[in-house]
Formats: sequence, structure tokens, C-alpha cells
Amino acid sequence: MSFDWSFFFKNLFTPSGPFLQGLALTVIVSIVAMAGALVVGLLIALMRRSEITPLRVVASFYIWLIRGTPLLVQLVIIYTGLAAANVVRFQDGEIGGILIKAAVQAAIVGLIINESAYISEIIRAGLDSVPVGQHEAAATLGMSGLSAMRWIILPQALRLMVPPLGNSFNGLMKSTSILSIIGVSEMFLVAQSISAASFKTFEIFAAVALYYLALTTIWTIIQAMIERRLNAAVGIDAKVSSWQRLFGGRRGATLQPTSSPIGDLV
Amino acid sequence: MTAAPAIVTARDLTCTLGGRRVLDGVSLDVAPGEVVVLVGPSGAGKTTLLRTMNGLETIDGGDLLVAGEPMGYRVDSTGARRDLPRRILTKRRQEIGFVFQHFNLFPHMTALENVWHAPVRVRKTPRSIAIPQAEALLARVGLADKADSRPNKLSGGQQQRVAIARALAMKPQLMLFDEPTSALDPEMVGEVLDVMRELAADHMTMVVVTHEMGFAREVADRVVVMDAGKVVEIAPPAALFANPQHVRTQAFLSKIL
Repeated sequence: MSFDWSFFFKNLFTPSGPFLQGLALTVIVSIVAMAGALVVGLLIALMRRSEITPLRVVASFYIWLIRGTPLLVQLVIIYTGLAAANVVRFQDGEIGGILIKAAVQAAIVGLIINESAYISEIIRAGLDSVPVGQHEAAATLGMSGLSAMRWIILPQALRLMVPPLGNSFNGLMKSTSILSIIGVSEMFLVAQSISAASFKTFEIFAAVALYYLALTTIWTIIQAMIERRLNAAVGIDAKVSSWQRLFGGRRGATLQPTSSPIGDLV
Repeated sequence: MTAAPAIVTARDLTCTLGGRRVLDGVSLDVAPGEVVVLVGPSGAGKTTLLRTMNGLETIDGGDLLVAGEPMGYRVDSTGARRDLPRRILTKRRQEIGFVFQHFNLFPHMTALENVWHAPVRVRKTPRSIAIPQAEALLARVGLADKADSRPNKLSGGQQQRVAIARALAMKPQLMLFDEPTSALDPEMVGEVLDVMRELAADHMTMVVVTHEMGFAREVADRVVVMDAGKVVEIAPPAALFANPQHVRTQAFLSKIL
């Protein structure tokens, strides 16, 4: 076996400028897409619980459509397909003086749409898990539906939603590697070009794998902190240490979520 | 008895839940300051009757006026019965306190937050006023020292007293109690009934579903006996317990006394 250790360590510890930019883009796109998907997902979840039938139908159709098609196909349709059909053509643009490439905009829109379908189901399950007595208590105090949702139901549902939402974010960060297909120069695409220029495919992708692993590990630790804080807010003293979360602990294992957006691609 | 305009006027109420007629022609008036206790075997419709009084269940026949307004429905210009718009229902509920069998405190808030939350969010009372009022209410139910405790650190009796304080914080005209002591360990029943006794002494209008016959005998102005969705007898407690008129009242009392 030939493995160029020095090339591997060089790329791992002193990565090139483009590689670091790719890493930064991966992180930024993930965070922006997740934030957007949370908002859209909440909206879809509320529509699905609405008393107005058309809203429920639209939300169900959206979830059915998005969950039933691969992210890769969705991205190509949004970026290339819509442009080819002269529906929407993404243009490079600036927000606050920062250039945002057309492909990046399309990628963020695509990830938000894709992820929001999964997230809406997580949010719906979380909202449904709050006992009916809490809704009734809020109602008897004269709280409006919206106010009850904001102050009574959501804060309680959030605690139960964070573990599966965290898993979604974990999956989302890894899904960004698919964005290379529409030319977003995130970490994976940069690595591909390094690989093409150096022929050291194993070394560069081993380094890339470790970077993805580092990202998801950092997120796991942050997620455990969020969970501890939310549990403490309802007076539950559940100690899930980051160590337990990473390397197994019975409670951590039971909180393993179910759906992953990348599942569609495999 | 009915000199003052009634706070609750129910005429021939019917209510069907899950295909079963739970209320079958119930009529009842509750005067201001009156304490009415609903008793009867389980499945008699007591809780449903109570829940219709603030729109948690909607009647499908008869008239139900709470503070002079139809509760949970409206009658349009053609005389047809329609659902009450949510916004109006929400508004009317602010005048009616409700205490649940299982407390239903908000677990993510302290006892004090549970009490001041609705005045601040619903009535837009400034916190500088609402929080001292909430503290006073907690003191009134004997829980001043538990203001910063979360519900899961309180006993059942303490939780129910916080729940009563929470309902009182909205300054309701009417308090509805749905088996407030049924979920409590026996030694905690007394502390909750004591709070309710004091409320009655302060002339709060109360409708109480309970199995506590001692409380009914001592505090109620009138006791309503229900069975199979109907009111079988209404009488002051002394008369009812000493000399029940209806055969089903006699059967019920003989089982529980």
C-alpha cells in the first residue's frame, strides 16, 4: 500500500486556502439551511395541524413530494432545471457586501426545502407529545391559540424535539457534500479538485473524512449542552454527558433518531 | 333564590360525545356568590356539564348562558346555532377560572410564573403589578415559600393550590372545579379543600364536581345530584343528605356515605 503520510498530514494540519474556504462554506451553508428549514418546517407543521382543510392538504402534499424524491434530483431541478425551463435563474448576488454565488443560493434553497419536510414531521411529533391538559389549561386561562403555542406548547415540545433535530443537522452537514454536483465549492468539491491534480485520492479524502467527523463531533457536544439546558429548564436533572453521547450510554442510545435526509440518496 | 341575575343559566342542555348522549336535558341556575356542588355516579355527566360552562365541550342543544352570553356557540340572525368564533370564546374564558383534576400546571415554569403568566400575556398587566399580585395569591393558598419551585418539586396538594392561585390570578367571576381532590393522596385533600372553603367564604361563585361529601355538606349552598346525563335532584345539602327525595339519590348516597 502506498500512502503519502506527509501529504495527508499537510492537508490535515495545514490545509490550503481553498480547502479552508470550502470548509467554511460547508459550515455556513449548513447553519443557514438549518435555520431556514426550522422556520419552514414549523410553518408546515402548524399547517398540518390547522383546522383549515386546504392548509392541511397543501402541507401533506409538500411533505409527500419532498420526502419522496432524492435531494440530488431536487437540487438539479432547482438550479439547472428551473433555469433551463426559464422559470427561475439564480444570479450571483451580494448580501451585506458578501458575494453569494448563484449555486450557493440554489443549494441553500434546495437544502431548506428538503430538510423542512423532515423537520416538520419532527416538530409535529413534538407538538403532539405535549399532553392535551396543557392545551386545555392555556385555553381556560383565556390564552389565544398562538399565545398558547408560543408560551406553553412549544417550550415543552422543544425538549423532545432537540434530539431528532440534532440528528437532522448532523445529516444536513454531511449532505452538503452533494452540493458539489451543482458546483458549490464546498469541502468535498475542493477535495475532488486536489485529488484530480495530485492523484492522491485516498490521502485527501481521508483528511476530508476527518474534517466531517470533527464537524459532527463538535455538533454532538453542542447538542448535548442544549439538551442539558432544556432539561434543566423543566427541572429534569438528566445527565447526558458529551462523553456518553459520543461513546454510548444507555440514555444516549435510546435517543437515537430515525430519519436522515441522506437516506434518500443511498 | 334567583333574585340576582344568574351567572350560569342552563336550559335543557344536551351534549353528545363520541356518539353517546352525555348530557340529556340538564337545567341549572347558578346565582352570584353561590357554591353549587355536582355529585353523582361516574358517567353521570358532571364533568361534561362543568366543561360546557367554559366551552371545553360544546353543547348541541338547549341554552347555556354564562354571564349572560351563550357559551361555546352563538345564534345567528336566522336562529341557527353556530360555533362561537375562537377569538370570542377565548375572551369569555378569561372571566372563568377552571381547576383540573390533574392540575395541568405548566411544568417549564415556576409556581410564581404559573400564576403571573396569564395576567401578563393575556391581560397585558405590567409585571410590576402582576408579580406582586401573584406572590399575594401564592401566600393566600399558603405557598409563599414555594414561589420559585417547579411543579415537579411540589406535592399534589401544593400543585393543586398553585393551580387554584393561577386561575384566581385572572380575577374570574366564576370558578369551576373538576374533581380537584380526586388525584390527591388522602392526607393532601384537606389543604386543598381549606383553600376552597376560604374562597367560598369570600363569596366566590363556584361550581364544584367532587366526591367529597363532607365538603358538599359544609360548604355547598345547593347540591345537584346527576345520573345518566340528567339532574335527578337539587337541594340544599342539609335537606338532601337528611331526606333525599329521589330514589336514585338514595341509591347513590347509600353507596358513598
